Amino acid sequence: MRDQKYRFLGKDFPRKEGRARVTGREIYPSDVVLPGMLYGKILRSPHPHARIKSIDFSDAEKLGAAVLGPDDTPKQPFNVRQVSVPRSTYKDWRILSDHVRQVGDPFAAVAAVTEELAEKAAEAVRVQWEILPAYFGIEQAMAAEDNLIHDKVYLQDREITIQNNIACTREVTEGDVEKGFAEADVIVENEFITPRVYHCQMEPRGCTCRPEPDGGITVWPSTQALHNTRILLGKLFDISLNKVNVIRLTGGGHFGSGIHTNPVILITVALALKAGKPVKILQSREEDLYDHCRYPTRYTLKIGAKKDGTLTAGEMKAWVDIGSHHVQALAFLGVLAGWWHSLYRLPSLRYQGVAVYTNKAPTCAMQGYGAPQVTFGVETTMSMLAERLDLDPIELRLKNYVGLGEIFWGQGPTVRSLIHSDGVRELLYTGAEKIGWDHRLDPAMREGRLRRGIGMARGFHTSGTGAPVPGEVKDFTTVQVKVNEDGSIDVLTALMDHGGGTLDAAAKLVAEEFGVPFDKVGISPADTRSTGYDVCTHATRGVYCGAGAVLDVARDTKRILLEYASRILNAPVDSLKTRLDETKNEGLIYVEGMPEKNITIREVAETAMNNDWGTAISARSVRKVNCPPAYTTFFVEVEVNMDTGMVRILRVVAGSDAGTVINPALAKGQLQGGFYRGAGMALLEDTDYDPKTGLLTNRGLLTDYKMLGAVDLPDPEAFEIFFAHTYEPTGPMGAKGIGEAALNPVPAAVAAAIHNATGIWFTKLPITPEDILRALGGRQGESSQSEPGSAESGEEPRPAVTQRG
Amino acid sequence: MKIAITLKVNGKDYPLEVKPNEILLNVLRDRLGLMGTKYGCGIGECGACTVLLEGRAILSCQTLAFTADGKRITTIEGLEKNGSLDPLQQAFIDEGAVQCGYCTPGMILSAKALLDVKPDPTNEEIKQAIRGNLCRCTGYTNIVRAIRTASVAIKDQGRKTK
Amino acid sequence: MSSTRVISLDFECSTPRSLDEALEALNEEGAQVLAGGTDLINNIKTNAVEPRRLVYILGIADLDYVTVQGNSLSIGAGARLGDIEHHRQVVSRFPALCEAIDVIGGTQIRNMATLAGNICNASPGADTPPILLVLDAEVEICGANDASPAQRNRLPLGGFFSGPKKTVLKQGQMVASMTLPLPPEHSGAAFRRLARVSLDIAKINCAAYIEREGDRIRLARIALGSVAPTPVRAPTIESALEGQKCSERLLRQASELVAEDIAPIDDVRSTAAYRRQIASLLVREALQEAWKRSRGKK
Repeated sequence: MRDQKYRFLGKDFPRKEGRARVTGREIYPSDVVLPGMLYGKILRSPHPHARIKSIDFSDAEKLGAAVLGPDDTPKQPFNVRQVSVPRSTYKDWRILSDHVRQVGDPFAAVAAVTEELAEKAAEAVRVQWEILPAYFGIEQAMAAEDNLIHDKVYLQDREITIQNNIACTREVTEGDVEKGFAEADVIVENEFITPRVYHCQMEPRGCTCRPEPDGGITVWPSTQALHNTRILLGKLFDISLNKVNVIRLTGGGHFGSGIHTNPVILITVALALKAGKPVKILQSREEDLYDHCRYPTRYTLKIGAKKDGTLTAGEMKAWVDIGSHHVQALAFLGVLAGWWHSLYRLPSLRYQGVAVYTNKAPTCAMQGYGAPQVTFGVETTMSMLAERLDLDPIELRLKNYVGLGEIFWGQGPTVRSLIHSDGVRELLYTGAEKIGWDHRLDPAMREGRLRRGIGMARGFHTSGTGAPVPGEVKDFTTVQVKVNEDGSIDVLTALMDHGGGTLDAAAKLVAEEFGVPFDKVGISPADTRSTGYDVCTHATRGVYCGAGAVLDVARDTKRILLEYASRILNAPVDSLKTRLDETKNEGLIYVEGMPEKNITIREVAETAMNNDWGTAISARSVRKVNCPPAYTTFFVEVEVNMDTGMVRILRVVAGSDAGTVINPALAKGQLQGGFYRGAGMALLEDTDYDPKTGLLTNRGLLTDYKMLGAVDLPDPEAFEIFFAHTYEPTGPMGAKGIGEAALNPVPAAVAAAIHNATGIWFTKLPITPEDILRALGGRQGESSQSEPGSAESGEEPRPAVTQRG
Repeated sequence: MKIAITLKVNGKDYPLEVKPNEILLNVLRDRLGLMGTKYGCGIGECGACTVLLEGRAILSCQTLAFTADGKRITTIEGLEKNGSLDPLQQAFIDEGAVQCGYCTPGMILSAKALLDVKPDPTNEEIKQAIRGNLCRCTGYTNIVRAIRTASVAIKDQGRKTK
Repeated sequence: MSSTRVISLDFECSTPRSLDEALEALNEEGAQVLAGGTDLINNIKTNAVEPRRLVYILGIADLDYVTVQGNSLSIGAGARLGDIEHHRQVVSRFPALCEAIDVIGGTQIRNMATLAGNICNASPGADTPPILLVLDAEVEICGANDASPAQRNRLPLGGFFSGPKKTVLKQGQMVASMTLPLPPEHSGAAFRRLARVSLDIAKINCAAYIEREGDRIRLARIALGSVAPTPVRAPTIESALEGQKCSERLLRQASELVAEDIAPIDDVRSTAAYRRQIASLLVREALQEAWKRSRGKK
């Protein structure tokens, strides 16, 4: 943080949405109610892979329900995610298809006047199925020659024939890898496996749609992407965008599951148009568990290093089980390479990624988008290298990390930019000191049945996906800022806030810029008819790109306001400054050097109105040309019960390099939340399928999708957070992002702590007590790799559930 | 079959006819328009549907409406009194314990049920009291802090009114 | 087919004010008892059961009690878990029962659910049966007896479970109460369980009860859950301990015999191998704790 006296940045203010949320008055997508609204229910496949021979809706219609089948929906293929440019977008979705590709795949929908009646109508629909062979593992899916999950898909508009259920592949090579490995004194190679985590955002996804008299639609979806949803709806339903209005609502959590336009949104719109009435569809939790999940990965990672710790070469081969459809598999394969390339300098690397279809829930982005997966392997490898080379693990990282002044790949090879701020040294040294890093014992010295261990990991995330040249991923935000006649300010943008305080940050920047009270900056309700395009809030772009765009446009508006003020004060525009007048609690414009020559913003706005000069208003789109890395480090202390394999988290020290910290309490909240979700990924979260039935072994219920709870996490006093003293020159008042960086290194840090306690390096997540006991049983006291993943799919084969525990 | 019941919610009586299979959560939301209580899992595992029944925290998704006949129900909407926030509500805002806010109503009510019987809880007691409430955003740290802050505020209030 | 959002199954309901009224309503085919609802509602939502009528018994004031009568503790079918675990007499005389109840769900579930309901749901992994079994609990069943429906027939809990989620109750019958004999002096009980996280169904749980005579174990009872189709006693361990002089080695060796009495499986929560390995550890810990308590140590 540069030495600035900020009035709002870096201080905690009651968040604008706070009161609504604590009183139950915030309106979430689940809460939308419209007159004459019907409740919808989606019919979903009970089979993992099948074709529909016939659907009989007659009994449902007798109950008075509106019905929707595959033939009632547009036939054109598309991709639900519109973030990538068209040439990189694979299209393998239909709104409703008679070829179902997973248990839970939507194939029809009904709507009725009550939710209960809709449920009954759904039960009354009769379907005849042709069962097809189903695939639940990568090897199994790739071995298939026919009965493929997809036969023909489209890349942009080019037809592609799918072979062996391979959705797409990606390769990246830099430098001479063979030469690099030849130069290495030490090579470490492992296979890493990361789980099929479920976002479990607290609000299952849903949507309400009202068909309008002019043939248009108004849509209240659960989404992160207002405009992408609008564009897709307009295209699929052939409605001119000026008649498609998608309304922004607070969502009950996203974590990446709303970047794409979820099927429930498309089905709701289709059903509303068919019924000619408003329709609301809310997914049950069971449906939501079959709707989306994180990308699981299985990858081999080979890194070579010289004796002095300099990395020389790297090779990664990744297999990704993407489930029933492409959401963003090609982009995901690219970012795996990108995160890897930008964690530590590799003079040469070779990367191969393969995405494979299976008959499971489609994978989509989840906080980190490949970075937690890759950071787990890379950080573990770096720690192994430090061990092998007898080097300090922190110094080894400092020697090799991609930092200040270097070009980094950001989100894959097409998003590259220069690093302008870097707090890594501070993060590592301060974190090490706070946890007592130098006093940690070697695992071989630990004894007793309760063993403590301290581990660390370093990670980062790009602040958005901006770059000097347009790449595969769209990234810009459109903003309008205007000064109201009483001197208050309206900010209009389609930017979304997932709960982390993105919009509050934008408001604070505007307040800071204008010198008006925080309370006087309002974030206007937004919808797609009144706002220009914003790609969506993802990729940790909310503050740096989104709020950054708001600040840029606020400055445009401020210029106009100052021009009005200059007329009144009879002083040149460039001599005018703004500040907050604490006594009047108003924004003040004054002449620099002559503070007695001043006028309130309110007076200027009133004067401009009364003299017909106009409103101080401006709007434009802003694209950032950088995506500065937001670095984080986590130092974690755990206690492992060597008899039960249970792991208790004792202490956490989280360090974040976010540049200027705008909302300290909420930024800390990101780190606390990121840790909790990352630790969950490290210790227990996963979703498995029964290969006999295609059903989730957790039956779609939270009874068996388990996450860490308050009791399982340390007390507030044991969670220490600090921020690096950095300032990002390209960022809004020095700010960078934090969101995904708050999770990325956590699984690696927890695994490292478990290693320090037990002497075992686990390369497969989650690390369950069963895994720990099994590893301890085989290798008591040794320090070695855990068992490699099974040959099948990297998932432990688990028999079907035969009884509830 | 329909049964005539009266739901007493936030101090107001709502005479209704319900079918035996109507779930209290759905009646509160869809028939009484009290949207603050949320559906999170429907299976009793997340606590988003928590309401107070005779002052005790219960799960409205696990309750058939007819069984709540005549009993005093408090939803999140019932906490604010004459425009004044309950100390818990204020503390949740002040301590950064509200992110997306979806779990917040249930979380606050569970905390209220705790503080009503245990005004000075330890961290462990707080965590145990909200064991049945899931939050996917915050990692619980600021929530525990907020409940402690509220307990101090309530104690101070009590001292002032003595 | 229902979902967790809405129940589409139509059924009738009764709100009896007395046990007699409840039993009369239960005589109808497809009538089931509704108490706290935390299991039954979910079973309906997941289409595991399809009752035609629910007989809501929590309006029967006479069933909501926890009392000590003579030398036994009696818990009515309407008594909530939360009330039982905080009842003064239960806390002082049956601390292990409190510990078992306390791991169930969160506060909300324990405010709603009943002990009788927990055992009638008959989950093989339920947390109360092991401790109830070692404490020699009995269930009092009434109903389906034309002569005197309210007559209570006592059945030891060990004979109550007939399979996973199955009890010996017939249509028209319900559990009216449960009784536990007050434990004698020089006895102690303990409960242990492991789960994935704190809000969870057990991977494995167990309870131990020891009656001490000097430095000998006069008798021991051990029971485990989640390791067989029903909660089970561990007779092999019990025989090995009976009459023996207690020592660390004895407890360790005896608990290792647990493999004889259990048949764990792999499921979504854990593996058979893990359960086998942990079972002896948990039994040993429960025995150690029970022995300590039998000596009056906390």
